[in-house]
Amino acid sequence: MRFVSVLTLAALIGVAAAPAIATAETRTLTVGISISYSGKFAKEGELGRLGYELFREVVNERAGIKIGNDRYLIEYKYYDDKSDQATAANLVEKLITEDKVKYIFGPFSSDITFATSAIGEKYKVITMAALANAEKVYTRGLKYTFGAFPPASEGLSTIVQMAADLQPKPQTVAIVYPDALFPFYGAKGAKERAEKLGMKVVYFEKYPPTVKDLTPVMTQVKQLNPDIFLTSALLEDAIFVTKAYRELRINSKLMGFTTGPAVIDFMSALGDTADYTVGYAWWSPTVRLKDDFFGTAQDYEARFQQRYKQPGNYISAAASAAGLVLMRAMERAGSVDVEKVRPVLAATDMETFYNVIRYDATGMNVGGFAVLIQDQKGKAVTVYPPKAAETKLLYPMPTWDERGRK
Amino acid sequence: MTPDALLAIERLDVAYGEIQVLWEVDLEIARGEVVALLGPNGAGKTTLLRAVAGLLRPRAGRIVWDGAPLDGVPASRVVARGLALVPEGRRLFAGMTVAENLTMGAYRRTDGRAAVSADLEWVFELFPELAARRRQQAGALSGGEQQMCAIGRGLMTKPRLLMLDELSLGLSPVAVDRIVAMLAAAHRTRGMAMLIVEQDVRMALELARRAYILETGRITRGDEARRLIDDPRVKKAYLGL
Amino acid sequence: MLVQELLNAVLIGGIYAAIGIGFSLVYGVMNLLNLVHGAIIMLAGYVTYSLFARLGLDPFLSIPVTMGAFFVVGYGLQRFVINRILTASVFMSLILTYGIDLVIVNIVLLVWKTDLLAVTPSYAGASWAIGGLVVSKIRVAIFVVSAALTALMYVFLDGTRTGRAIRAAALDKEAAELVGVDTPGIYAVTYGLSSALAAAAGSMLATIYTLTPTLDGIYLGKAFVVAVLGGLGNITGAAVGGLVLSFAESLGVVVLGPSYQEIIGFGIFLVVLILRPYGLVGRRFYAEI
Repeated sequence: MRFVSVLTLAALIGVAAAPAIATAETRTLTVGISISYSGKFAKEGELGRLGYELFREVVNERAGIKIGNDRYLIEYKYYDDKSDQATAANLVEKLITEDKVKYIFGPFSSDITFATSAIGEKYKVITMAALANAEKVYTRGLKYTFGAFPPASEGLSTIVQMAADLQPKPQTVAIVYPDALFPFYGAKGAKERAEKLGMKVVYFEKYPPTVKDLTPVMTQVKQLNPDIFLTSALLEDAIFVTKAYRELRINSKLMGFTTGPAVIDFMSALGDTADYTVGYAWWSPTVRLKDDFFGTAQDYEARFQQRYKQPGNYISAAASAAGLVLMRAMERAGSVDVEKVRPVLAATDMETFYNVIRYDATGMNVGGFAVLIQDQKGKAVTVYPPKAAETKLLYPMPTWDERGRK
Repeated sequence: MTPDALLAIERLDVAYGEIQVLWEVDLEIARGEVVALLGPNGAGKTTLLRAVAGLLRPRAGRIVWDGAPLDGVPASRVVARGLALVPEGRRLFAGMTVAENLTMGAYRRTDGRAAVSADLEWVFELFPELAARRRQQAGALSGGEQQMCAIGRGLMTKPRLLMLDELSLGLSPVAVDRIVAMLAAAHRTRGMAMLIVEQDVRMALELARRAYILETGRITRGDEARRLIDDPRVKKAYLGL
Repeated sequence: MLVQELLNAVLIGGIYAAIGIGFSLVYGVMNLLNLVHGAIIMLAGYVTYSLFARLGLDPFLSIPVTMGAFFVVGYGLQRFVINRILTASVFMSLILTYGIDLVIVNIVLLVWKTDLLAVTPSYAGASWAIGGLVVSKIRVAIFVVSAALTALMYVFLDGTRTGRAIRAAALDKEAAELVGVDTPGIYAVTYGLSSALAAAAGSMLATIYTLTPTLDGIYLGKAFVVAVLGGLGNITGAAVGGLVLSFAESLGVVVLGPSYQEIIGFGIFLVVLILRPYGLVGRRFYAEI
């Protein structure tokens, strides 16, 4: 009988001691990332990964995220979605069912996220869809999907917004976009804004996403000679559109892109042809924003440059910011339990180095604003909004005859 | 084996995969000799020619050409040694002109442009029909002309042995007579040996000095042509008499 | 403005012909659907980029360099790899060439990463303005070079000993061997020539297209359509096929709208494939050049 008592006592002590041991525990939180290493989004996928990686590095060098009494180090499980929707959906399912992750950092492009977020939703796993902002991704009544980019329709329309106040005021707008989700929302947003501001949209056309030479379409644009020429597309398209624009000697007053002018590849691929083009970014190192994790936009830029030997970009920044937003939500929830984190995350309204992040009921970030960037003499400079502008917009663009004379 | 035989085939076995077609075939051709190879359809006559020409690799046995082994040498090099095969069905380069087809015959020759063009003129003399159509595409020729072009292409290789597979197939008797006469003429001027595989046994035996009979993959007889013509069994089996 | 569109179409047709001609040659000679073709055009583009970025070599001057280098690469590839499976099933050759394509794509990813690269000589994007028409200098140059290469190829196949051997091997492999043509060697030369033509196209197109590691599929698709339109194996047909495809694309944009740029081209492609599998350019005998 005494023997039993001793055992019981020992067991009681053990139970009592257990939480004490757990208090100092360092755990690992595995986040699944299925993103493009290859295929058409390989470049954007790489930028996304750099952003996610930077977030992880900063977390782990500060000994992890403190949640309740525990500290969580972050670990990633990566897969290559090959820029393919179906592959991405399968990989996310694998991440959830085989690798047992509870949190997903999203892939690049709205089209791919459209597929993967539905899988996350099915298994009640949180997707930080940092790199997707087509409305269609969010307007399906998703509960576990949260973005970082502001709405796709907000980007190009900011260029139109700025143009409305320019002298001479532009009257006509032409918009082209490849037949895909994200470009469509960008184009649609710009068209609606232009019409609202009293401009005439003289050309609004989509082209097949496999096209690599847009000469036939651009010939039509040349005939219309619009004051503003906008392309809602990704980087590769932006480059060949600009080439055709020069080859056909089209002379608009303002030329705007979704992706391009802010990206170093755009400038190196086009040389001085890139000058005067305007793009937007959801982020620029010059914006006056900050948080208490990465610091100011400039701080982030400095760290990024030091780590990767290349300038920062809005894709990486959004990826990093998405990590930060999730981390703060977990801290506030005091748990890594998805059902406890989700409502806290949905209530996010915070300033980060990247942008303001505030979610609407659909999980889209409606708090952000776009900064406009113009390439001037081989440098991308911020020209809008005034609170972030480094210098003045060069407007109207000189004609090709004028540029040739220099 | 005769020591100075031009071509000596010894105990040759040839198979297509698992299916053996020729068994222990022995055959000899002397320099300048015209030999016929007779036998029913499917006996393996074409197979034997293809093996000699290097298109098939024998399973066993030897092919000795001018004292040196020939088995295992690929077709493209066999022709350079002086053996030419005019294949069954002509196998002309249909999309090329007659002149180009003939010139292709000289592809491997190294005896100089002058010799080749002299031979080309000789072939055109031999077959005036071809001379008239030298710029036409070979595919547009009549059957008889195609056969002439195929023989001409074979002659252009400057062969020491010309192997002819079923040259009368599908041709009118008139065309056959004409081609045989021209072949005989070519033989007289050039003196090359010939191995003739023919359904038209009478024609073959007219041209040939000796003949072999190949039946179900084996040589069953080899003899002087005139003795075979007189042989009642041969008469019955191959001459329909 | 229709004149401008026609002019563009002619110039783009020259580009498409350059893409398709080598593909057609290989198919015509050895019945090989060479899935490596697009990757070679792409790789030559990247090599051209490096020659330009590192050594300042003009992309058009790098044409002889890439042509020579890729002739050697193509020759070796055929001689030591592809020849081995040529007698196997079509399926085998598709698997093998697709595999080689993947290898090249991964070499590109390894060496040049996924950055978007462009070759931008000083005259890139420059145009002549002639009476309201705009003519891109680079596109004219590409058109001229591809026309010259097509003509050279024609003369080579028609008038040289090796050229005739290639045609003979294409028309009847065995008959060619019977007159002494070493067909494996001729196949290697043919593949080398096809690769050299692909390399020339790649060098030139690097000045128009943006280099990405996904270009191989785009190029291969165009090459296939162009070759089928012109008649697989028909060199002069490839030139016609290039023009037909280019006009179809322009027509699609003008008549139906930009989203239909590729529909008409593929429509014609399908119709040709069904009704005239030997291509738009008539031939009486297979493998006429």
